[in-house]
Amino acid sequence: MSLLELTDIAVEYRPAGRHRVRAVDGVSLTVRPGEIVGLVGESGCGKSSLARVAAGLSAPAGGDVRLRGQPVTPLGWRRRRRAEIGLQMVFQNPYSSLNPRRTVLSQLLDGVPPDVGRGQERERYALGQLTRVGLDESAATRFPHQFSGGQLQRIAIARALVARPDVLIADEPVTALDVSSQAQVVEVLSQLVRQLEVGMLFISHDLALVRRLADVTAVMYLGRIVEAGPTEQLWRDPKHPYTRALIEAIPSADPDAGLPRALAGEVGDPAAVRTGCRFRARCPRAFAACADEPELAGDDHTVACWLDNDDTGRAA
Amino acid sequence: MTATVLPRSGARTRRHRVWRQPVVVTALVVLAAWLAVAVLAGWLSPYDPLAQSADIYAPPSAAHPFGTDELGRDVLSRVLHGARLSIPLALAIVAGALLVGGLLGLVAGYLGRVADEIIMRVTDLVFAFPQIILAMAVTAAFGPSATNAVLALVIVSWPVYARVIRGAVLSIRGENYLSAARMLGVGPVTVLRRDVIPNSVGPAIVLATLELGNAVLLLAGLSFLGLGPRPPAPEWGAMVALGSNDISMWWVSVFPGLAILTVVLACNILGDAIRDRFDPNLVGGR
Amino acid sequence: MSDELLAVENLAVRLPGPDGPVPVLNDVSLTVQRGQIVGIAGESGSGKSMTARTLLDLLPSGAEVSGTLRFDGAELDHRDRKAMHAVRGHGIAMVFQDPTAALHPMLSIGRQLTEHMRVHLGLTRTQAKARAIELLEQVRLPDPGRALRSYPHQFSGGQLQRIAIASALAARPKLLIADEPTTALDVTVQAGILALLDSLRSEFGLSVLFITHDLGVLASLATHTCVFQHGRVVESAPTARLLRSPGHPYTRALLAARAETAEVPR
Repeated sequence: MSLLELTDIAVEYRPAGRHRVRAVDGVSLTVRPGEIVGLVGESGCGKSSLARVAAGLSAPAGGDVRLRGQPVTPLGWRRRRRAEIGLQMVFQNPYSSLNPRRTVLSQLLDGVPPDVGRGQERERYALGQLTRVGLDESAATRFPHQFSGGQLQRIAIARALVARPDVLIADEPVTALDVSSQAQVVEVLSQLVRQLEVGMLFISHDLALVRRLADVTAVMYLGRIVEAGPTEQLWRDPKHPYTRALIEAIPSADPDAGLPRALAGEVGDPAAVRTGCRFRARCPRAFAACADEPELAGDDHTVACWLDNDDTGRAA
Repeated sequence: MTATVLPRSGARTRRHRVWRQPVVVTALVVLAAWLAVAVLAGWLSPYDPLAQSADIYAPPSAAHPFGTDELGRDVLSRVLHGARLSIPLALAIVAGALLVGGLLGLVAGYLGRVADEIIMRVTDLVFAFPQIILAMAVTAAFGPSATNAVLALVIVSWPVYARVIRGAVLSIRGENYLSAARMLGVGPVTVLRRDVIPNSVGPAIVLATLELGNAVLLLAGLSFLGLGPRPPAPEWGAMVALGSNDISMWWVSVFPGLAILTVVLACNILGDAIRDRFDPNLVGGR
Repeated sequence: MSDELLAVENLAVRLPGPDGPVPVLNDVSLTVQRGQIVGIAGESGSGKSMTARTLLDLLPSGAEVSGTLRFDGAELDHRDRKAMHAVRGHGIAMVFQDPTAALHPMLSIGRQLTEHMRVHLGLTRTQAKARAIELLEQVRLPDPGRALRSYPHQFSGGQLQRIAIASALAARPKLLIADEPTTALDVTVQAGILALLDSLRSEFGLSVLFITHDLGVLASLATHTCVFQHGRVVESAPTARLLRSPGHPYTRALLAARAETAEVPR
């Protein structure tokens, strides 16, 4: 059973005085219990817009988001429904994730479910989540500025846990952190998913990090998923030239590996009118068929590329 | 930084240091003194502020330290009683403007869209007139009295607060802790109360302190033009106006003028101090 | 060693703190040869950026500096403001993590590049423009002529970093200090910047002091690498040797953390 289901999501925005821009164009994803789905792509590919829609923070221009089969409606002027509280998010910037003027405990208490009890029990429950992410209970009485970025991110995770989430959306949760705190936060996140059987949509520009964490990886380019599949398979046998370029660009600590391979050009302007494959302009293997936009095809390991198509692939 | 919590030894000391600056201490003492005067004016004054005497335009002397005015009233007693009138009125103006402006600013910033558009156009409208002219028009329409002067001054001064609060709300509207709280199922009104307001009132409080001085000035201005509290009430602005007829009798206007000056200056210094204090990173010490 | 461009010996820096001077650098020594890229690796707070600031005389007032600095054959007295200023202007240039910080958002790229050259190098308008185009070609920015008429917001992060490098190269510095120049960029773009620095070194003999938190970035770029921790150099060795057989536990820890999150067995 899928926990979180995104179907054909489109996100549009309109920069002042310009035409509508489709930042996300028909993305479908599912997250199952205890599964980490990694979503990678370069900045500007639309992954953060998708994260906000997946978390129910903003409304999609098309498609729908379902949590346990129930539609998730974007936050408006009402209180969030109990069922939707199972959808929680960890943000990129830990320093903006917590109210600077409230103690950690007071912010954790915000999410304690009503059935936990009252007063002392609620506090004990909140403190329990704090220790679960590896922080001392004494952190509860402190204010956010008294913590490092890595600690703040763990507090933010504890706050999400307080609400007994079904699905965690993590939008670049370690990008703003130091290498050593990155490792800690990643460790905390992966343990939680395994122990609590929650699903996680892990969004990052760092393919190597996603490889370590995710069971399934989806690669996004200019608002579309170009390749998706079981992480190891996608890693060992990348089918889309873009996925291959991403992998080749990761610097290796092996002194014989040579400089990481650069990809020509820049991520295109999402506002530009485009025909055919979105990656065509930067693709080292573009050919005639790429004038048409390829659809995502395949069973378990899907790819949107004409090279992978039996008919056109031979022509290339 | 390493992963350990670094104690911020500077936080507490810095927080207290603001209040140790001699200028700030002086400002606090001055304001406290004026408040005491406002309360104790009846006991402190050597004469009845309204009692007239034949001894008109007497220069400062042992009997009348601040001299007497055109009706032979003791200027010292009038200045002291003036504190009782001017300071509460100024406070009422600032409080009223902060409340009205703050509320509208919050609504504009948090709701955005149409509400924001309407409220901001109204502030533009008020801003388009010079404050004192608009206040004159309002008091002229309602009739001169202390209450109407306060009302008029609230009407002309709320837009500043609305703008400041709206700006502060807009600047934190994208903060993730607001989204996070909403995602946990906290209602929008609670989020407004616990997360939005505490993080956006700071600048408005500072402004209010600074504006307290301005309110004393505006009130004095209205009174000077005969649109404030009705004579013979001892209002500082009205007293300055009276004395300005003849500069050679300098004591009639200089002493109430000094009273206005000290209150305004003290408020401004205090406002700056509060601004320094309003750094969220200093909350809670180490 | 006639090939030595920069030598830092026993550098120690203490910054004024509320409870007396705080040591931020301790006994730091490193050398950069001409035409060599030297890496400085470490986490934030390890003193790696502080070393760069000392070289550029960008320390806050009240900082206590001791040790020897030698640049381009001359001993540098860090107390001699004028000499330090001359080095900063002509001998050493710097690029930062955030290229937008180095560029004025309201001025065209051309104006920012040429004005600088006309004031500091005394070039005429046409000379400056020609040089600006040459620089933008050197950093492989497409269509330099058009780029000169554009404004910073019209470029992507990677392009801006290239422009920042071009601007740093304007005065023909002998040493370029690059402080986490690729940290804010996507991997594919990072790869491009690394290749650019490597080619600037091989084509023009540029020396680079490359500061980063990622040892992997240095692997094929830097000849020599110094690992910083708590304001000290804990290990300094030819990069290949340092990566193959790290001697210090901290270097091993950095590599291990990397292996967990980033290393890709190919």
